[in-house]
Amino acid sequence: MPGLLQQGMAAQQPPPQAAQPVQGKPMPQGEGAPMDESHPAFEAAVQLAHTALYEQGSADEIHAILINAEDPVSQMADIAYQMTEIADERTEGQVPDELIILLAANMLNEVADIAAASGVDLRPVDLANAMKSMILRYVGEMGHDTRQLQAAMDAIPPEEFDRMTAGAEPAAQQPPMQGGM
Amino acid sequence: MSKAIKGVTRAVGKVVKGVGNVVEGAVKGVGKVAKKVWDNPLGKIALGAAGMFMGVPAIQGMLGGGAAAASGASGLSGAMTNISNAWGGLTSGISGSGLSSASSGGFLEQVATEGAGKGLLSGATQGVTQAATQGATQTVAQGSGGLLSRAMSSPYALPMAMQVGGNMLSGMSQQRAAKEQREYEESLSDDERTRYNINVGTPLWG
Repeated sequence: MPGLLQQGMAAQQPPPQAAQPVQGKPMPQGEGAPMDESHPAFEAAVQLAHTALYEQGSADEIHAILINAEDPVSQMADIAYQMTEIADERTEGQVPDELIILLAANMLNEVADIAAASGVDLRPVDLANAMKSMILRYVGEMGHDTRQLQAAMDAIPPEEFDRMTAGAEPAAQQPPMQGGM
Repeated sequence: MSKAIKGVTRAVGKVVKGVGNVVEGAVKGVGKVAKKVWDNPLGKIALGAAGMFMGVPAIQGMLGGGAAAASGASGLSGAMTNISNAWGGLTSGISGSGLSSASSGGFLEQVATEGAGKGLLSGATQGVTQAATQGATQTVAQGSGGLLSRAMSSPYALPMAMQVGGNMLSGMSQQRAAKEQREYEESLSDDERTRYNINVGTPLWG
């Protein structure tokens, strides 16, 4: 992925609240920290990404990449994965393993927002495929054989992802999002 | 500014406001930004897909009782906060049905045992496949909509799936660390054996 995103995220000195007290409170460590999206390291990682995207201009770069991409879904997955990785590194690996996938979903959501605003026609199955790609890449980089896991993931009917939108409002410029149920 | 860039700008407007709050030092601002993923249709799908891939069907069959009754809180934050209670309700209320069938020989058990015998991924894969196919079949047979559309109706379903997925990834990390530790210990043992073999024939005194 685009070095510009890395530059944008790396340009922030010091890393926002990484390993630093939040609002004067000591960052909870170990068992004391909440294991949800209010975890200080998770919040710092999200803030880092948002700052990079919307203050350092990475969102515009992502937009430029996606509108020219032959396979925008794959690009989205790569970008979101890279963002997750960078945010995790920049917060010094303090985002708990249990929250990494939530952080990844968060990053994918940001990229998908940009993609949708850029006119990329996203269907639920596209987002599912992007998430699948990210999970498989993570598992693969952990040194595991991903073939069986991929086969299991592929076995899930794509229609199930369309059905997920039953309770969700359609996003802008995405007529296919309504057609699930 | 091009039309597309304007679109991006519009799309990120709310987030920029959130970042403004963060920059001002309001932790609440960060929290609001983080919860955006749950409120966003695309974010919901991303979370739902992650949950489904990480085994939500294995849990889906259990959702009728404990989870729904755990609390009135809604949304990702409330659900995540109450996840322990919900999980406790599930495990105590559904013994012998969904949970046990989901965990016996499947996803949860394999994660918990860290891949003894078959290996973590092999077991997890079996669990996901089995749960996905069984869950989908059951849901279709009941004629009550899609697997995830039912799961999405509970504020606890996806966060729990995320938790399970997180546990799986966490388990993988621990498994990898344990493997590296074992390899390190084996290398030490090999070195020691090599040194012994070299030294065993060496006359120490002339």
